[in-house]
Amino acid sequence: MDKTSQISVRVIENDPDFRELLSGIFERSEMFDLVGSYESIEAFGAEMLKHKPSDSWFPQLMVVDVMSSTDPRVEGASFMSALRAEGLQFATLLISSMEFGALLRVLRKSQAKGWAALQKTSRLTEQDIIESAKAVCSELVLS
Amino acid sequence: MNSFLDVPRILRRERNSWVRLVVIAIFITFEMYSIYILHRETNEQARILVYMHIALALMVFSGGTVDAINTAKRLLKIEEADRQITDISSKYVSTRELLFRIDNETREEVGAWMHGTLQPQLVRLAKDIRTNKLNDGELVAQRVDEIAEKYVREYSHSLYPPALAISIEVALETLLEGRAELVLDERLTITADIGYAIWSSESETASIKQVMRLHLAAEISYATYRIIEEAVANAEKKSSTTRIVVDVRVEGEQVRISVRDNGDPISDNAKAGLGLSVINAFMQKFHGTMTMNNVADGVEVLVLLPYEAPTLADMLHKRFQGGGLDE
Repeated sequence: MDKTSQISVRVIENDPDFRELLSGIFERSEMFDLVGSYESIEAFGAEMLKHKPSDSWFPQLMVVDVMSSTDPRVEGASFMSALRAEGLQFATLLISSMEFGALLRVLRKSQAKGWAALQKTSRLTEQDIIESAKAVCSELVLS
Repeated sequence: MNSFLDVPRILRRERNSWVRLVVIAIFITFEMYSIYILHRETNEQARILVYMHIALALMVFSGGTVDAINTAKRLLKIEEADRQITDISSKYVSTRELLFRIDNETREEVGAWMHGTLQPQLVRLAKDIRTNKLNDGELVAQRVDEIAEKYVREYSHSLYPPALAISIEVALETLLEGRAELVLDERLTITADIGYAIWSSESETASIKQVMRLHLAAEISYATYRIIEEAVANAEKKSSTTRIVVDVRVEGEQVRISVRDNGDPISDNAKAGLGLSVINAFMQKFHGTMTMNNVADGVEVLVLLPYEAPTLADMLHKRFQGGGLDE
């Protein structure tokens, strides 16, 4: 499939097994193009700053485990929200074991569209992840 | 004749203010006597010597007095510092005792949960697998999920709500969903500007006029959460309560937490019997205040906690000075 028609994705996940799983899913999918995978928000941030100020470095979709920082004071949801508040356009699929209802409501007060969340359970399937990723991307494109 | 030269040294060294006064009095008496001799002395050379003595004495005395004043100031500061140290020490001891008690209670609770809830679940699961009651992999997975989600996750979240790691807004929205209305200071919400540019340089300056987001220190944020959790649970205990409003705002150097319900008023006797141990523990730890009053349409628990007022931008600037995220 032509890369230009694919949705670019960067993944931040501190659990190596789950990161491998997520990366594999997006690599296998013809719809997505995995352009980066990071073990922490700090690793992502360091790479991001190397490419400043090129907005094109940002993917169309960020898949982020909320608690993927080496520092408990940093978490992925607020970090993504802060980047998007600066005008960067990317959809965000959050993954965590926490309840997401309130978090999504709060995030949507700042940027109304382009947020989705998946709870990490053993029942989470490849299809769930792909469907959520597609849905959140189209929500942002359509808005 | 040289005794007055010792005055500054004595004044500097001596901490007892009465001794200092006596030294100054002796010194003045001695100098008055010198003036008296000067008045009576006819020998010119002797008069010159006494003049010189008085002049020198005045110089030394003035130096000594300045020294004495400085010493007194220093002593006052030392006394004040001593008082503060004593005060802090006593507070530290009581806080340490409180933390020790809380630490013990937490260990007790976690230990009891692991022993009484988690372990039996795992033992039962292992037994069911061994006795072939559970020979289907999917059923085993369901049981493991149940233990992970129903017991471990719920319990770990009750120990420290993960939403608090995101923000007090998300944590309180999660806590109060379907239970109470939340009115939160706009500066503590996501709609306030963080005032710090991660990516673009323009947004940092462009956001100056907007409402800046405030940063609650982790322990104050946690205290706020636990206080509200307890106050709301108390309000819910009254069958007459149909509405609870939680209002959190930063006023000056205080976090003001109000939990108001529309239930029956509380009598003074009932107040004493209410379970407010968590609130009281935090009041002791942070030297806050808590009042519970019957108001026009119900009961209000009002808590004031101390607050240092950095904006989130201040904190981020301090933390990421130099631009690196991993600093």
